Amino acid sequence: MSLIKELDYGTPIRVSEQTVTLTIDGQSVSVPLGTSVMAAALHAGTQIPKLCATDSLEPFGSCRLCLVEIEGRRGTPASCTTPAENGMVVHTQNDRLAKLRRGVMELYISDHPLDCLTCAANGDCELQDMAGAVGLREVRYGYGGDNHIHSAKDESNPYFTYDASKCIVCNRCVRACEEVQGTFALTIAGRGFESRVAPGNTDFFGSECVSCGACVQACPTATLTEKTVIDHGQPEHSTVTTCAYCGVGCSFKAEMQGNRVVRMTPYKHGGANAGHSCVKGRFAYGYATHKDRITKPMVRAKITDPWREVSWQEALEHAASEFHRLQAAFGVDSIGGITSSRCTNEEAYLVQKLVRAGFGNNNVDTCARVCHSPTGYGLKVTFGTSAGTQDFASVDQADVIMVIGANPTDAHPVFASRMKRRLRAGAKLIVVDPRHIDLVRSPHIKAQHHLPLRPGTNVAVLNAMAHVIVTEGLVAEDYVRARCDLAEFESWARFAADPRHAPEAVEAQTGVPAAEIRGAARLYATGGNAAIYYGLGVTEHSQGSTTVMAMANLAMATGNIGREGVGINPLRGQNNVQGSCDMGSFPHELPGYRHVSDDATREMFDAVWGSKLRPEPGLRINNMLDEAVEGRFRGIYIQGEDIAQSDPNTHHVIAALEAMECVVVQDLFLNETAKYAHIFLPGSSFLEKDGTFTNAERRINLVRQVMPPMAGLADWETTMALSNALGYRMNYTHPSEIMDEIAALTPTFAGVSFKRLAEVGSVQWPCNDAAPLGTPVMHVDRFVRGTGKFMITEYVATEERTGPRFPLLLTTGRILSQYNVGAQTLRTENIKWHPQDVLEIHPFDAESRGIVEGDLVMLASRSGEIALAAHLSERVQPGVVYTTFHHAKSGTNVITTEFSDWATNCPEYKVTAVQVRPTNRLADWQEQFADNEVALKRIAPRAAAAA
Amino acid sequence: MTAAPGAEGAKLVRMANQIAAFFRSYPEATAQEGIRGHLLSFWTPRMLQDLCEHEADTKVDSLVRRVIVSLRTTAKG
Ligand code: SF4
Ligand code: SF4
Ligand code: SF4
Ligand code: FES
Repeated sequence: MSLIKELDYGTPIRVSEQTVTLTIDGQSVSVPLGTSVMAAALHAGTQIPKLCATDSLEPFGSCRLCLVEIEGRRGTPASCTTPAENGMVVHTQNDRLAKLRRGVMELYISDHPLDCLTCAANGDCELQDMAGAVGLREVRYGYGGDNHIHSAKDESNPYFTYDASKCIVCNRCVRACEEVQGTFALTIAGRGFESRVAPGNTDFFGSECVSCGACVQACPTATLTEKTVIDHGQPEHSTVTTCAYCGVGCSFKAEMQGNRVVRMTPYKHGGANAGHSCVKGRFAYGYATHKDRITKPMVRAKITDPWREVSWQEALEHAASEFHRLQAAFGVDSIGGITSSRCTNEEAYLVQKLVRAGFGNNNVDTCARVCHSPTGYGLKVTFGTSAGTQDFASVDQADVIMVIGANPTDAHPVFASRMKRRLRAGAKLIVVDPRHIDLVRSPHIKAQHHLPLRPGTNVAVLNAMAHVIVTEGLVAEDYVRARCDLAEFESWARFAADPRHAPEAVEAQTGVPAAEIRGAARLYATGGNAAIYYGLGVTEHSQGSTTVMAMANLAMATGNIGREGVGINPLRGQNNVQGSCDMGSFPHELPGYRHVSDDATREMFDAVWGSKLRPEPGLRINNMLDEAVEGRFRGIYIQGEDIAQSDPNTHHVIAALEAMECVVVQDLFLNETAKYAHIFLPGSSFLEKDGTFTNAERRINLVRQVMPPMAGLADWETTMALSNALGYRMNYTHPSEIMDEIAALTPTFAGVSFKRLAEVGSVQWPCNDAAPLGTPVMHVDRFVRGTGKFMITEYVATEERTGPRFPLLLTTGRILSQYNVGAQTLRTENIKWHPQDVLEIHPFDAESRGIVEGDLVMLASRSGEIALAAHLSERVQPGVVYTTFHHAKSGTNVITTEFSDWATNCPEYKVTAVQVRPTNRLADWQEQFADNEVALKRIAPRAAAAA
Repeated sequence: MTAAPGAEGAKLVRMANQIAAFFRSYPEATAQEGIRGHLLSFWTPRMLQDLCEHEADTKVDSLVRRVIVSLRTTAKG
């Protein structure tokens, strides 16, 4: 294995149908129009020395190292800022140029510490490389004059340092922060000799910096360096893999020393991220080797007993015999399983196979139930397939971007950077969100319309937009006639035209000024390519599925489906939530979204699996929990999912778990659910296994093992061993064989194999004979279901209402540095950005309750109460409060209710009626939590366990 | 057959009523077909059975009640 080095063309790769042909050092080369002379030279095989240029950034032309001679032109132009032209004759190497370049380098080196041998960048420093490339042999100016050698270091960021003494003021970091990340945190402060990079008038940690790492990546010297590299030295080999955090699915090089990850570097050829990253994937991987990892299987008879470490064999046999006992006593349907949206496709596939074929029922579900199940339902009904319609790159062609119920800069940061680039280039923005999220106003971006609706009124707002489009004659009639079911369209248009949907009529209900809705609708319908991006603020409502259909209606009515730049794009939460759904994790669907009642599909699976699959749907997670409380459902196998923290109404979830006789949890850590488990099977991190993840744009990326599983087995091996212990044989020697089985059984995956993925990097399903390299944009000539189906989307308000007891609405969300239940990110330095969950409350609501900043307040709903610190913020409107759910000890889901989406039972996390009052104590639940942290997590000392 | 006791049975009724509320905007026959199709696609046979036992419950939406009747007929047929 070796270190993967990506070629740096110096300036961005241009795309153009036109080419130009020029001669460089006597060699003829043709490149796309717009390519720089520098990049053209590399195409011809010649590397021109450079310092301020790198191909992730627009050329800047400050270092003057890349000088060339061009026949017929005066002087020595910089090759990075000079576009290649037809007929140009360029010379990149001669004595004159060499002398000039040496002169430039000499000046740089004269103000640079000469501690190369002990420098962290030794072996990975462009300054060093360039000194070598230009043949620098002497530096005539000593350190006697002014220099920066003793400048102070800024070590405030937990992951990288800024050592000003090594800075050559090439500006790459500043431009990376602007162009790649879009945060504009850095400037060059001072002038001339005094000029230095500065994160505002503060240190990095205190600045606007979001720790994405783009500047560190761009820095050619040791100035900005990862602390892990400073601590451990340069990596010696690397492997390309996929981030295990969010649904963007960024590709990284895991750069290693033996089995130790020295750093994760975003991979330039990553289909989803093209070389960019966020703080989570780039830096927050330390959880994978955290001391809290459980690496031994454990069992206990009662949840109040201490855990006892046992062998894999004992744990698996015990689990199998318990599941057999329960099924014998309480029926085949008394047990079930939950697949993980954090595990690989292959692992999710195996868990649902184990449930359907091994348990003999369809009681399998996944955490998508609580996030994007309405997406699957709504898009399948209207378009015919349960997935987003575009690739991420499509946003580059959008003219109008509508963001609904999503906070991409926090939850999908790498995609947000791409979106912000498009917005800075002039695309228009509509934000529909109760909160004033960052996108509404950020550097060089301002939303044309922000619709700050009352939580729970998405459908009313979208119907009002539909009303404007229909009644103002903005429907794309040709498109509708050619592509959609006309009868359904007509009844929808009649519905939408009804005056009760007029923006003026719903203004009081939604809290959005009618003029804003009208303006947004007109812009969406007439502004060119219009694309909708949405998140859990759409789905996690009792009308989640209706909202998804309402968006689909808008897109069809305005002809915004089926080409680049448009579409309906769910920003999916977890790394593999799309994949786990694709793999048949829902109780009513086999892999590839085929209903279990479909005889032909079942027969095909039966033939390969040697099973007799059941034709009726099984239980959803919430149904399993309800039946557990009733005593009908007794055992569960949960892979990589923490329902006790992440599912709504914690009291109910815990009551259900406590009512079960055999809870098997497979995870990296003793999570909240494991407190109620009887058998613990240690899981494996994404670094410890091979497999695939599928991101929000349906892109299937390879996950590659870089270290052995800490517990001895990868998750797929554990499921296989459990299945074998149950008596249902599984026999795979590598995850690629599992993917081969998936491909053989699933038409949309027919062309997918590990070999194909390794060859082409990634593919977006459908990938089959018709589309061997995958399908970036769906529904191009026709909808997957044939014609697009408009649905009537009546607004039915949630039963969760505010009233005198609970006058405020609570909505929940997450923040950039943290990921979901926090089990991973809180075990990294990211905790520094979010030491606790707080309650955001509008100053007006705070004042009327006598609350000031930082006060401990009791947040109560009809489900329960918890205490949190108050943070006064005008990002929320009066009447609305907001919190995150990253810290288990906060117990945010003690508050949320069991109301859920009508079609999919996706919980209504985004709307809970609450009251807030000052308090001086923790809630009872939180105190109990502290006790349980000890009582339910004890592990017997090893000697005692052996006795 | 286990009777669905209070809380969980009430939940099923509420879920079914929510489904009916969505389909109510459609003509009666389409709405009934929609609700029925939805229940058959997503509910386990036992959940359907439990719901049917609540036919007389005054909280059951009238559209749902008519669907329950048709579900019973299918079950018998
Ligand atoms: S880490 Fe990212 S946000 Fe922070 S300064 Fe560097 S580029 Fe800007
Ligand atoms: S910190 Fe690095 S990238 Fe930024 S100006 Fe200095 S040398 Fe260039
Ligand atoms: S954007 Fe998502 S996938 Fe990319 S690095 Fe961040 S967490 Fe990982
Ligand atoms: S690389 Fe061209 S001027 Fe610096």
